[in-house]
This record gives sequence, structure tokens and C-alpha cells, in this order.
Amino acid sequence: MAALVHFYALHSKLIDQIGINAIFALSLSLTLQAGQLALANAAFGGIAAYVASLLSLSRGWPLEVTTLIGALSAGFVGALIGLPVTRLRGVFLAIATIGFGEIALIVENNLSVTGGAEGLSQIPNQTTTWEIYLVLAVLAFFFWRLRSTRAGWAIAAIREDEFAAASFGIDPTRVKFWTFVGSAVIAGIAGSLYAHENFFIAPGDWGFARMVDILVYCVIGGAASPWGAMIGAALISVLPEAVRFLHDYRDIVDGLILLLVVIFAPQGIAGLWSRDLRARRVAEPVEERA
Amino acid sequence: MSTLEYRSVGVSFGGVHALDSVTFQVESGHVVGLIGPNGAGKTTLINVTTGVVAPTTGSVTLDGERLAGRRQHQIARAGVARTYQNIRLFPRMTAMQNVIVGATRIRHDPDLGAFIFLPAVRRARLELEEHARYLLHRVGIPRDQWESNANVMPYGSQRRLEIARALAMRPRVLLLDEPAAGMNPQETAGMQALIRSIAGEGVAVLLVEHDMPLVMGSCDRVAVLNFGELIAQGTPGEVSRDPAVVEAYLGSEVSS
Repeated sequence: MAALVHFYALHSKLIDQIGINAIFALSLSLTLQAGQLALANAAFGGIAAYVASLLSLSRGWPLEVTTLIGALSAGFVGALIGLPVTRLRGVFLAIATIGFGEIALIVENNLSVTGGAEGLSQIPNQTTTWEIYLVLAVLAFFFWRLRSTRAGWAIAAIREDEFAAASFGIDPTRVKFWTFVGSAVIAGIAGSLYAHENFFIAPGDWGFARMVDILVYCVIGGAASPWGAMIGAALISVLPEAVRFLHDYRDIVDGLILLLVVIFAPQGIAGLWSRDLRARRVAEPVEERA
Repeated sequence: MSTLEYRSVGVSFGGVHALDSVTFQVESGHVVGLIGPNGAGKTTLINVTTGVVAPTTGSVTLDGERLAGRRQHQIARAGVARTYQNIRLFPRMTAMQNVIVGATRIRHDPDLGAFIFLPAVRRARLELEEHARYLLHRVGIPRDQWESNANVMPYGSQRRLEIARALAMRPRVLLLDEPAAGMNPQETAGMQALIRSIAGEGVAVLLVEHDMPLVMGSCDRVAVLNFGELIAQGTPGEVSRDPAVVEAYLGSEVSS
């Protein structure tokens, strides 16, 4: 127990980061589950972070309230952007959402209320580890149960074949819109938790580099799997610490791992696991016959 | 009793008339065959019915309710199911899962119930799986393929799965686009029995097919398209003796 307390004291910052990154990864996995490559989650996280931080700085409201308002603001912006953007497919959706992310960055850089390029500082340090992991647990439960609902089936069907899904009464536009909005809200929660964990936020925190990080969590974990997304986030968040001894070469290890996963396990870590399970299931009847 | 009715349906792509003033109907419990040479407009007619293509003129109604002009998923919800000529299953879902997706719109379990472990949701789920197994069995997919992904199933099973998935919707109208393509005579005979039994449950079936024995054996009426026009309709016997049909298929005699 004492060892555990000591470990936490030493690594609490990293443990918090893992949780927040996992929430970001889950937000992206929602749109990926519907087969949509939307890359605005970092931007939505940023919007929520600014809204929530400004509220806690000016009003002193508690984290729960500011995070809720921040996440809903991100969802609202997501709905506005989502209306036109979710009608786009594949790479066009990716480009449009990256474009939106850049616009958000420019706005944040130039508004006086967001503190311009210097960002906001002295944000109250309200985020606690247990709150991060409570949110993560609730989201994991949500994603687990979602799979068995009609909405969950509709999302999976759209990922597989949008056109065929429509001929079974599933409205692709509607499903894609709501996954996009949901994704923005979850990213917003992560953004606000991040802001209240770091004292300080700036536009650069929500740029394309962060978006790529989130995408890497999901790709390494398994693009369409919420479990994979969380595992990927944990792995990639720990990695820089684990290979700290490599100093400036750390990014090379990151890139190398991504490359290896894409080549040898295109379905990610979750894909390796389920492929193994399926192989076993197929093998069973053979054994029976023998 | 449901009736699918086409009234002077026309579709033009630019100056090309894919369909021109097509009028006929499919009643529940009946199988209507739609035949014609390649490019006659058969698949276009299915696309008009399902909302993929909007008709330029005319109307498509189901029990007097207008279908044409509505979106694909709305038409599906009105009770129109289809299969695809070039198989469009959900490739990385199992046979069971494909059928369950087909039933998405007739499920009545509350979505929020799944989050609070409502017993009714579990019961609905078990019923759904039970019904899916019944359908897979009915269309004749071997039991050991039920849990394999659609994209690794044998071709014949994929065709059958298309039908099981469509039936899962409990449709009023079923549009079959070449369900027997690539099947051997024995499999085709099984398909014929299946189509008759579906119609026997009161579904209005429109069968687009090139396999003449299957059309003659399973259809109550046959409509013949050529260059987008309906050139004949009647019982299989009448149509096969119709000179215009013979001409369309074999070409006219050269008069000398």
C-alpha cells in the first residue's frame, strides 16, 4: 500500500494525463466507429477548455459545472459544424474538420478574451485523479452498452456500408450527425479536465499535433474499438516516460511503433485480440469432429 | 393486403430514357417477375422504388402512400426491403449480425433500457437472436456459417444472407435483384421454393432475374422491359409466347 501511495505521488501527473488522453481517444473512437474520419476533436477540446477556464477564472464555479458548460459549448459548435460537414465522406470530411481546427486556432490566437497567443493562465487546479477516472469509467460503460442498442447497431452498419444501411431504414445523415456531436461533447470534457489540471492553456495545445496524437491512440489501439482506444492512449502516453533515456530520439520510437502497428496489425491491439478469439472459435467445431 | 403500384414511371438521365411510362403493380402474396435484356431498366426500376433514383415522371405508391421522392431510409421504413445484385452485405459482421441489423427498424426495445439493464431489453435481444436463427435456417445457410463474417462466406450463402437480412425487416414488399445469379440448378430450385414461401406469407415480391426457369416457375405474373419500356405483361405462359418478347430477346427475323 505504501509503495502504491509512493508510486502515485511520483507519477500522479502522468496518471492524470493517461486518463485525459484516454477520454480524448474515446471521443475520436465514437466517430471512427461510424466509419467517419473527423479530425476536429482537439479543436473541440480547446473550445471547451477555454469556455470552462474562463468561467472558473471569472466566476469561480466548480469544475463539474464549468466542465459541463464547456462540453455542451463544444457540442453546440459541433452541431453547427456537423450539419454541413457530416454530409462529406472519407478524406473530404477529414480535410473539412482539419480546416475547422485551424480556424478555431486562429480565432483563439486573436481574441483578447482567450488571451491571444499567450493563452490563459492561473486556471484553478481543480481536476482530481478520481474525477478523471470516474468520467472514464462512465464513458467506458456508455460505450459498452451502446453496442447492444439500436443506435449502436446503426453506427456499426454505417461503418460497414452506409448505402446498404439506408436500405434497412437507418438514416446515415442523422447517425453521422449525432456521433459527430457526441464526439465533440466527449472531447470537450477531456479539454476542460486538461485545462484544470494544467494551470495554463494556449492555442498551441489544441493544434494539429494534438489531433495526430489522438488519432495515433486510436490507430494503435484499434480504430473502431473503444477498448483499443483507451489501451492505445495509455500506451502512447506512457511511452515517452518509458524511453526517457533515449532523449531526443524518443519521437523516433513513437513513429517506429506506429509504423509497425500499421504494417503488422492494421486493426490495432484490439484487432489482434479479437482475431485471436475468432481463430479459437472457428477451431472449436474442428476439434469436435476429430 | 399491400399493393405496390407503378404509374407511368419515367426516368431520364440527360437525354437517355432509362424508363419510359412504366405502369404495373405487385400485389401482396404475388410474385411478379421483371425480365428484359441487359440495360432494359430493371435495376433502375428497383432504384426508383427504393429511393436511390428519383423518377422524372409518374408515381410509385405502396397502398396509396407515395414512395417516390422520399429518402432511402424512409422508404425502407415504409416496408420496402431489397437485395443487391452485386452483394452488399456488411462484410465484417457475422451472418447473425447482418440479420440483426436488418431488424434494426422493427425492434421495439427502448434504447435507454440497455444502460440500466432493463430485463425487457434482454428478452427483446434473445427474441431477436432467435428470429435471426430462424431466418438463417429458413434461407438455408448451414449452421456452421452463422458466426462467420459475411465476407468469408461461400458465394451462395452470401446470396441467401441478403434475403435473410431483408426478411428480418418484416417487409411488405421485397425486391429481389437477381437472387439466383451464379447458382446451380439445384440451388435455383431451392430459391424458387423460398420465393414462393415468402409470397405465401403475404409479401409482395418483385423478382428481377435472368434465369428463365426460375422466373417461369416462381412468378404469378411477368413484366417485360426493353429499352425502358414495358413491352408485355401477363402470366409466364402468355409472356413467353408474346411476339414482342421473342423479338426483344432473339431479335426480329430479317424480312427478305
